[in-house]
Parts: sequence; structure tokens; C-alpha cells
Amino acid sequence: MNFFPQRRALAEQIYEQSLSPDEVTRRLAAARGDVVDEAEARSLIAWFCRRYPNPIDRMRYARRMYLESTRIAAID
Amino acid sequence: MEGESFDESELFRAVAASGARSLLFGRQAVVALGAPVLTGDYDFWLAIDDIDKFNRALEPLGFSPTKTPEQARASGRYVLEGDTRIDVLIARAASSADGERLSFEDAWTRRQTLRAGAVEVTLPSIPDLIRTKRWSSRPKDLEDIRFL
Repeated sequence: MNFFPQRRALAEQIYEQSLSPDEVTRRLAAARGDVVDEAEARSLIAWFCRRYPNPIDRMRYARRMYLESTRIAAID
Repeated sequence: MEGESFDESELFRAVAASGARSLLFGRQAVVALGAPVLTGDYDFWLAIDDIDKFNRALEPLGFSPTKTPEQARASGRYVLEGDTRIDVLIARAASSADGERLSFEDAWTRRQTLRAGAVEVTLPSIPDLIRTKRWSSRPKDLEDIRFL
């Protein structure tokens, strides 16, 4: 039996569910103090902007990759 | 296939030429600023009096509104459906769960513009974009805030 669709639906539900103001504050405070996480975010942004200097191209990439990922998930 | 013929340059050229006061927000605004995250749709925050201008400008690109301007004004939201999906917010202001309020007029006054060749993309300032992300406060919004 393939559990992938159920797992994906559960993951999407968790990802899309609003958090309480306290939880938001806690998570943002934790992320703010994470030097490794911040360096990784900066590195990813730098790579993305080097690869796609034009903001229109960045948005096109984000939309196309999203569509591709949903098509792959549908096949799985 | 959905999304294959849609072109971002045409969309933003039409939006800029429409004369409607609109701000790109949501995840594509975060992407435009350089965050490598994925999304399938576009979100615009539109001045409440500019619905007709906005819809007319996007009609030649194949976008149809799901509500009349009157219905959209009453509900505060509508969708433009075409080869991709455009969610349109037309609230005069919105607040996060902890009560921080942001009005369209303030966000418009503080807006920023990204140049993409001959095309311009208008979006809220980064602090205002973070405020809009706190309206829903989902894990995906916090991920976007981390990049901002």
C-alpha cells in the first residue's frame, strides 16, 4: 500500500496551519540566534541571485519547479 | 499543460501599465528578493478602487476574475484564474494574530521597486513584507521570514 499521498497531505496540513503568536515569537527568536542557519540562508540567497540575477527569472524558476514537484508527487 | 504558456514578463508589464496600485506580496515577493523557495501562484495586494483597472489589464493575458468588483470588495479577496493563479487581496488593512496592523496606504507609501530589464516589480518594503507574513503565521511563512 502506498502511504505517500497521506503523508504528503499530513505534511502540507502541518506546514499550512497557523501558529499561535507565542509559538511564532519562540520560533523566530530561536532562528535569530542560529548563526549556522543564518549563514546557510545567506549562502542560498547568494547562489540563487548569482544563478538568476533577474527577479523575473527567479519567480519563473520558483513557479516552474513548484509545478514540476507537484507533477512528480502526483506520479508517485 | 497548466503554467506552460504563462510568462512572468508579460504579467508584470501588464500590471505596471495598468495604472492600478498593486503590491506583489506572498511567497513570490520573497522569491523576487532572492530566496530560493517554491510556489505555484502569485499574490497581489490591490488598492480597493483599482479592481477594474487591474482586471482589464490582465484580461488580454487570459485571466478571468472569480468575483465581480462589488463581490470582491465585500469579501476582501478574489482570484484571477488563467494559465496560473493570482490571488488578490483588496483589504484596506490587515492584522496579525498579535494585533499588529498594516494598512495598504502605509505599505504603498513605503513600497520598493525591483528592476527586471524593462519590467518593474513593485512590492512592500522588507519590514512590511515580514508583517504580511505574520498575518497567517504558518511554518512556511516563518521560513520566508528567515530569508527576509
